[in-house]
Amino acid sequence: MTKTGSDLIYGTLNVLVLKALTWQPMHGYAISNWLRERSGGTLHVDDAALYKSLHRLESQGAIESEWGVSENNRRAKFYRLTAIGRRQLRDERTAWMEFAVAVTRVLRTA
Amino acid sequence: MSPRPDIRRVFRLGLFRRAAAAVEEEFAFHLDMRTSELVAQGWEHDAARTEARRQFGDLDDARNFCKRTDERRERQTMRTELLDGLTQDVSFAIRTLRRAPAFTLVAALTLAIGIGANTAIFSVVRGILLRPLPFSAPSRLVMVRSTYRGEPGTSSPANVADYRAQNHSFTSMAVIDGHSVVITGSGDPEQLRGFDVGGDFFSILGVNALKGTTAFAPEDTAWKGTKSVLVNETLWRNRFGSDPALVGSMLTLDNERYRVIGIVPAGSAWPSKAMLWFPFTYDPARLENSRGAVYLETLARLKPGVTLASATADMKTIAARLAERYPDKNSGLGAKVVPMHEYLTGNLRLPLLVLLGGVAFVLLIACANVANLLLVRGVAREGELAVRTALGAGRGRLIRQLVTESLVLSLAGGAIGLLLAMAGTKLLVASAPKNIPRLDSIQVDGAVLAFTLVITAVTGALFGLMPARQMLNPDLSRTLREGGRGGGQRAGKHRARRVLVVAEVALSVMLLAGAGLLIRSFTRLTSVDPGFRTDHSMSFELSLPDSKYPDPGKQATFMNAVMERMRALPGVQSAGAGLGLPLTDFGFGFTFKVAGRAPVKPEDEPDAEVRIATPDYLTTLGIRVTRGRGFNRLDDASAPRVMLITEAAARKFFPNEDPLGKHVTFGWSRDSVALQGDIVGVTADVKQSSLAVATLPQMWVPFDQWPMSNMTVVLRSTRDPQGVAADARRAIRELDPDLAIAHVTTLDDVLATSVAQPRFYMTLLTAFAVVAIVLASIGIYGVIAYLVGQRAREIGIRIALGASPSRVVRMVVNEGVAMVGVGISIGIVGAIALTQLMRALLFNTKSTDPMTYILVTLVLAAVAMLASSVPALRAANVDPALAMRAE
Repeated sequence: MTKTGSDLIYGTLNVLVLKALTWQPMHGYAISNWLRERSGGTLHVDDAALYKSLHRLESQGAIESEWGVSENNRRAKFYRLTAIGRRQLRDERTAWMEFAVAVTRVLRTA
Repeated sequence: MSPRPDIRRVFRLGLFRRAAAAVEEEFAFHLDMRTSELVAQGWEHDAARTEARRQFGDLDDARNFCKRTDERRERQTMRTELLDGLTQDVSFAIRTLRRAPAFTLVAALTLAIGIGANTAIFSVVRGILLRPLPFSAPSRLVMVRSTYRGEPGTSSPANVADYRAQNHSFTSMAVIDGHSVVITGSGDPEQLRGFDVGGDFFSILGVNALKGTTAFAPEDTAWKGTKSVLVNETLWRNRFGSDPALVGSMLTLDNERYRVIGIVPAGSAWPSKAMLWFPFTYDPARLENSRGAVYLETLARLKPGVTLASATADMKTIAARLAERYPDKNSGLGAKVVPMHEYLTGNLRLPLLVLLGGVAFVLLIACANVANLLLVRGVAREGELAVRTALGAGRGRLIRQLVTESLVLSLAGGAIGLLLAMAGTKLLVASAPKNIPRLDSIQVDGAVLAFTLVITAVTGALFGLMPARQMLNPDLSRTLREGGRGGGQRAGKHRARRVLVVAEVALSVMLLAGAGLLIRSFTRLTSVDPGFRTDHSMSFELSLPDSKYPDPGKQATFMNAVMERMRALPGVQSAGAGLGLPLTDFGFGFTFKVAGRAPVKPEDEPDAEVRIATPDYLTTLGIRVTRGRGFNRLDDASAPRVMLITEAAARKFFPNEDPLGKHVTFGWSRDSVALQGDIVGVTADVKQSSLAVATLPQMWVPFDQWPMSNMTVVLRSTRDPQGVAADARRAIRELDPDLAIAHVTTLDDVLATSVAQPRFYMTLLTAFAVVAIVLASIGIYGVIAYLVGQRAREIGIRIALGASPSRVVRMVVNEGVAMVGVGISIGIVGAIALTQLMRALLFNTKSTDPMTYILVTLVLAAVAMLASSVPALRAANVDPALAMRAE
């Protein structure tokens, strides 16, 4: 069973985007592909939701954007993690882990 | 593939529309990439595009969301950046200025003087010229004036009645006629200014009563109707202690009882001297006989949609018709419609604008001085600026910083200036001649504050931008190489400084020329012989109420008794009474016929001013009788009618014959006896309206033959005028306890008042010129001192090579004088052009008066010599060894 973007809990996509930008600045298309590859196709992220998440995170100051040149020499908007974003990623990842552990524990005992 | 910083900057600057475009571009990039990926996987192009869109999801929703979010973020960013930048710039500017307290103080004070003076003068201009009159829709209020032979003046009751009935231009018209009134009961008798006004007067003005009503009832305005009066709020407060029961009560005015129907608010009281307003009434049976009695001003309100031009045309038609219909009394009649504001302030416009222009020059000079200071300081800061540029500060950023500094400086100057202006405005109002109208509406209000803020900002930009550009122009690498020592050898910078000094000198010359012309004009004005002696003399007005002194005989008897008592007062050498004190702009002119001459057409009849005098009036005033005899006690009601004429009248009306013995009959009569007499003497000319106006031909008739109820008493005495006035008041009260004397003044004051306005303008413009010269000399001194400093090494070498100190002094002074010479030349050309505008303010003085320009040149040359000799002397004392080591 594949999950769609709308099924994803709101904060989950944010934390995934932040995670994607940990390594290097990326444009939206690259992030979209990164998410597909990493989740092995399990998490099918709706691109519309991805971009909304990117712009929301940017207005919150978690990421910032710059225009640059893509691999195939086109102008593309690159996103980069800020210090705020890094902290947010750490917090949300912890929260997510705790949540996941709790859910898993509940499911096991059931 | 790191994004280039300049791209980033461009996009940061981008406004909201850019945010939308960016979202579109971002999404397009995504869809294109996805499409090509699918095509690479073997999809057909169009199908791949559709698939990419499908995978994207709700494109419109995402687009809207992202655009909105980005716009909000952009706006936020811009706001904070702007604020941050400003705070940073301002706090940096304040720190920089505090590090140089002497510079800051001098610059801020210089600006404060300029801004303060401008604000003070502007508040006067605003109060008098710009502020609307305190009436409803004041721009629709006009004065309707009759013109005789083109000269605008007052109108006769019969003519006004016809104007009223025939015009199509005015909602209503109301006449105004001033007189003095003695109030008795409720305290000491007091002579007050009263005005008879048409019934609609206050409804035309749109002024409502503070209490009661301002509308006269029909029975008030009817001939011999109820006696009613309106009271000025000021009189109500001062004499009646704001008694709320005054409205409805009775007042005794000129020995008659009047009912108070309302209180007029002081702020809207007009004419401003008016303390009482009576309804104007005229005997309808005698109205037609009044056509020649020209003494009424007329106020009117234009009907909606009627223009000044069409009202004027309407009135001219009516006047022409009246002139044709009554050729005897209305010959040469025309009409003029003048906006009320212009009627009140028209003659102040030019002098006030000249003062405003003059004070603007002071501010420009202050700006030039501060710009100069900034330039000098800029040299010291070149190192700092070069380093900051090298560290990456953009040119625009540095200009912004320097301009911020200038604005902070000018704001400081503006704040101090505003304080100066508040004090200055009070001082101006207090020292202004009292005959300037609307002085009470002068105050530092919102408009004045706005003006100050604007000139402060403009000032800051003016003196700040030029040095900022100069400072940022230099070859930075060179400055750095020279170790930031600021080698001011570049010609451009010297030129900037010289231009500033030349400009300062030129502006000072123009201002000084303007002031000089006013001074010269004033000297000529005050050296005009008024025709009478003003020293040791005082005067007051005495008015006998018609109710108590109804016939001329009673008036003459009483007035002679008064004169007897006056002569007996201690210290009084002589006493006389007359109608129409010199220099008070008293008008009482009539046409006349000379017996034995062929009759002329009515419009060609000569006219002259008539004055009435007791026998001692002329001698008390020191008016000489040059031919024939003066009046004496025998010229009484039972004796043959006699008269005297002035030299001007003799020259004009009797050019080739002896006037003595000629019989003159005026076109004015009392109790159906025409004013007339045989000429028995000729007197010296006397200035009637002002020293500046050519003497009008004038004729004197004896008081005993033509008694009047309103006379001016003149006393010649070596005693203190106030003491004599007190004695006179007591003596008159003993004769009639209900009489009051008014307008107690010395004749010296009468003369001073008549020249008070030109004196005021002259004094102010001279003060501005002095400030300008002081500022300019500081400027010259600063620049010469700086240039000498720059040339210290050269001067040192010259001295070492044997140049004498006097030679060095000459060299330096020459430099200053050369610079000032250019400034003076430009200034004189400018002054000749500009002073044309003030020709109307000059008496017997051409705006190109050579003596003034010569003196102005000499003054500025002397100032320049002085200002450059100080640094020159310092240069001459340079120790050559020290000077050369210093470099």
